[in-house]
Amino acid sequence: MTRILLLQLLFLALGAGALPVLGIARDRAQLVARLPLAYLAGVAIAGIVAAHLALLDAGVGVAEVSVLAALFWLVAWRRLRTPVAIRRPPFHIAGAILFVLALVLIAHLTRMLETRPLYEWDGWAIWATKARALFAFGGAYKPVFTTYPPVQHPLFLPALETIDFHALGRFDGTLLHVQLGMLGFGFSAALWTLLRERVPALLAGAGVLAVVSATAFVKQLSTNYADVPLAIFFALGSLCLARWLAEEEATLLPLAALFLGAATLMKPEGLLFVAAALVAALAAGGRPRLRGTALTGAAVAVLLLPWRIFVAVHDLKNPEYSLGNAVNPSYLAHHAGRLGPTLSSVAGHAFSLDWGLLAPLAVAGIVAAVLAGRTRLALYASLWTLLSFAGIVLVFWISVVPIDLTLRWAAYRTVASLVIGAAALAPLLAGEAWRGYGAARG
Amino acid sequence: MTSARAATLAVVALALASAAITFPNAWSWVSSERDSFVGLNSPTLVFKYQELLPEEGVTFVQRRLRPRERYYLLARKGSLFAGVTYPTAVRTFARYALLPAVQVQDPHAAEAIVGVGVGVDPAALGLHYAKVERDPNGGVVVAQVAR
Repeated sequence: MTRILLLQLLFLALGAGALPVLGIARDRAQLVARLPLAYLAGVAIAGIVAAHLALLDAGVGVAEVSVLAALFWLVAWRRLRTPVAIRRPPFHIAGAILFVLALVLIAHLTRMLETRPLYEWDGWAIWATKARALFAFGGAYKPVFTTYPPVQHPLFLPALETIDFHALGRFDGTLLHVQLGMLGFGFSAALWTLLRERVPALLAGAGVLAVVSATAFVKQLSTNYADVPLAIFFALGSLCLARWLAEEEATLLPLAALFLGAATLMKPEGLLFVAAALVAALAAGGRPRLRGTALTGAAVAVLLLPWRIFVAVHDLKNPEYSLGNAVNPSYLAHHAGRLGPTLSSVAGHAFSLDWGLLAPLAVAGIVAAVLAGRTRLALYASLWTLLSFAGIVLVFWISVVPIDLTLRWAAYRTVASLVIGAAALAPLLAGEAWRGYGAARG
Repeated sequence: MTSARAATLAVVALALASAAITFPNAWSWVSSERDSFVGLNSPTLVFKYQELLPEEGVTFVQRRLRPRERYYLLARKGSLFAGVTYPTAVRTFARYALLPAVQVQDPHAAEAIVGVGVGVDPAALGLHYAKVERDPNGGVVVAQVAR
């Protein structure tokens, strides 16, 4: 346990070195202010590097992460300028208490995760098997990674957990859950920081607590499934994109690319959510923000490319559906009977009380932004939500798995990115409405 | 602007109401999970599904398979739960539990056959074996394919 916690400090150091290099923190004061973003940035970099090197049969352990952190700091040290004046958000006790409550819940969760063995099916059958294989073989040993189903799942999560095993010196199916709890901490801190720079503390704290305390968030994060880790990285990347749209905050674009890139390497549907976000950002941002959004999309594509090459070289197919059927009217018509149950199930799970009131919260955020004339943000949030919802429905529609089984097995967790991604935007949307000058700036 | 501010206050109220609904449930679920699992201390244990191939069986097989050795898993017929047959479940579990040996889908590509379940006999596959060893505790057999 101690070794895993020390590894997290290394991820924090890696991320802290990366923030100035990527232009996310331009001087020392901004680095301090944005330090809560550093941990997940470090995890994202380590996970992406480990996932890609695994394809070359190379493992990443503590030594490699340390070297990476040292390299980033070597460059970062030169880049950090003398502090310029940073406008610090005013302290607000109620907002801070809500944020601390979220952290206390995650601490309670992580203490439990230290004792929780592998349990749920996909947690051991897919993710722990891949992580154990990466650790045992020192990379993506082809006889395993091209035959053990599902072969189409990218390697970010198991590669990240393999770094934990290298730190421990052994595979441990119980302690790997601690890494998931740490993702919960990183998510809370990063969401608070991204929101707090722009919205009142009460709104930011309430938003973080609402998401993190959702029963489905806590339960699904405990299962070693990749759905909530995907939602975590996607939601933060999407929030960075939204802030770029709202205020042309270009320093957050590299972070958007990093988090969205990690999301595409988490699960195949990560690409669906990320593509929907980029399309929505292009539509909402208009010509002034076209270049920044397009560059972010290109960076995400570069981060995904090695995995797509591996998939193409080894001809790895998704046995559950063929994307070509999504644009085949006769196939869709022939399977139209799947649409009704899918719509009902996906919407039902998104509005389930297991997620608390996160879906209504997201709707209220969009309404607030529309009423305040913040059309750009409202368009981004609503278009992304609709595209993602339609994408999820389409995937269940074209799946070859019997509809009752696939909905029972997957619908409740496939909506995680939809619900968490939409809810994470709500405080920003509402905060923009509260600022009151939205109509003038559009 | 008044309506926009009202909508903003609605967002705050919804967020607080959401946390008020879910926080107690989440906290008590975490507490009960800890009570259930505290004291379990096996880094490879899979709760509930371990019965597909108990730890003694895993140890018996692992002592007879080399790292990267290709094995085929033979299991009795049956179903575990809706949509998953018993052989699929055992093979899935064995992929996890028997690493770093490598499971193959074709017995003719295997260097060893692992049989799981009472009455399962590798001879049924029609292969020639150099050695067949049965777990004295029952239920597991490892047969090395003759080359």
